Amino acid sequence: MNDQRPDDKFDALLRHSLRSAPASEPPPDFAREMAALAADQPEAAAVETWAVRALCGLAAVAVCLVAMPFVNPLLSRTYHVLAGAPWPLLVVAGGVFGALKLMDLVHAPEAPRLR
Amino acid sequence: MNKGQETLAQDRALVEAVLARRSGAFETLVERHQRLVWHLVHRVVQHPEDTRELCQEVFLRVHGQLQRFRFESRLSTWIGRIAWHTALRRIERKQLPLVPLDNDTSATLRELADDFNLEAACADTQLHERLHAAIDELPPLRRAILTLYYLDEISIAEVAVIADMPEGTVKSELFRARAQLRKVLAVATGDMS
Repeated sequence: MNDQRPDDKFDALLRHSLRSAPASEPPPDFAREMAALAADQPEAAAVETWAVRALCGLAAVAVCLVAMPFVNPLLSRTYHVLAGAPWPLLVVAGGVFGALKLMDLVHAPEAPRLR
Repeated sequence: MNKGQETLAQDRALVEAVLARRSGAFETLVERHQRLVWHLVHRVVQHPEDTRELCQEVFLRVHGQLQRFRFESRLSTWIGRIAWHTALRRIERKQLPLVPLDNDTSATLRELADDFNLEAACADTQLHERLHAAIDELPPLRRAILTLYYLDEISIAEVAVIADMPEGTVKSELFRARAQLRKVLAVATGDMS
């Protein structure tokens, strides 16, 4: 029994009414079905995880093969474009941004926990 | 060992058994908590097929996240909390109103006479039908809080943890639900006299 007032007539009536209501109840075999479903889960997930990893690996190899002829011209063009960039200014700006993000992380409020 | 410590010890043993994949452990966990989850979800969504589907989702999540349970609350509270959020997401997806605009409820609390006959009221099936209909018409969250409190006999503090609300809000929701239902009862007993 929780903190209901046993002497309160309305509380008693409400409790009686809720208990006598044609409430929906879990089917008798629900727990067994759930146990079977949960047991199937890791196996199914393992197959899916393996398939996704294999596909990702194949995709990475395919991208590398396709990109190989373009790597050298792309690198030389990038070097040419970036040579004139204001590097000291960019480095300082990046440093300040990183420091601000770090402060946010350190002072972030703690996540609520279950009591 | 008091009742709280006993429950905690039982929870710990059951969780360890499930994590160790002991045969029948997860089935026992579901058996122990299925009524709470089913009542809660059904009171929020009020649809048998949705209830079944969501209850399955809740227990699959429980199974998947059990290693994260830190025994900072009772296992039933933690599972109830997962059920609450799962049901709430479904309601939000359907864009149903969670909390209605309330009329003044203070007067209705005084509408039941002191000579109200509890035994007669409990035996009155017509009155119960009206009360059941009135409970079904409550907004989903209020209905669920009422069920947790009266049917599953969960304390206000635990309902607050499950529903992720301050205790004051739970008390206020219960007060408003009672006020609405008292009004129905007052009208029903007035009609019948």
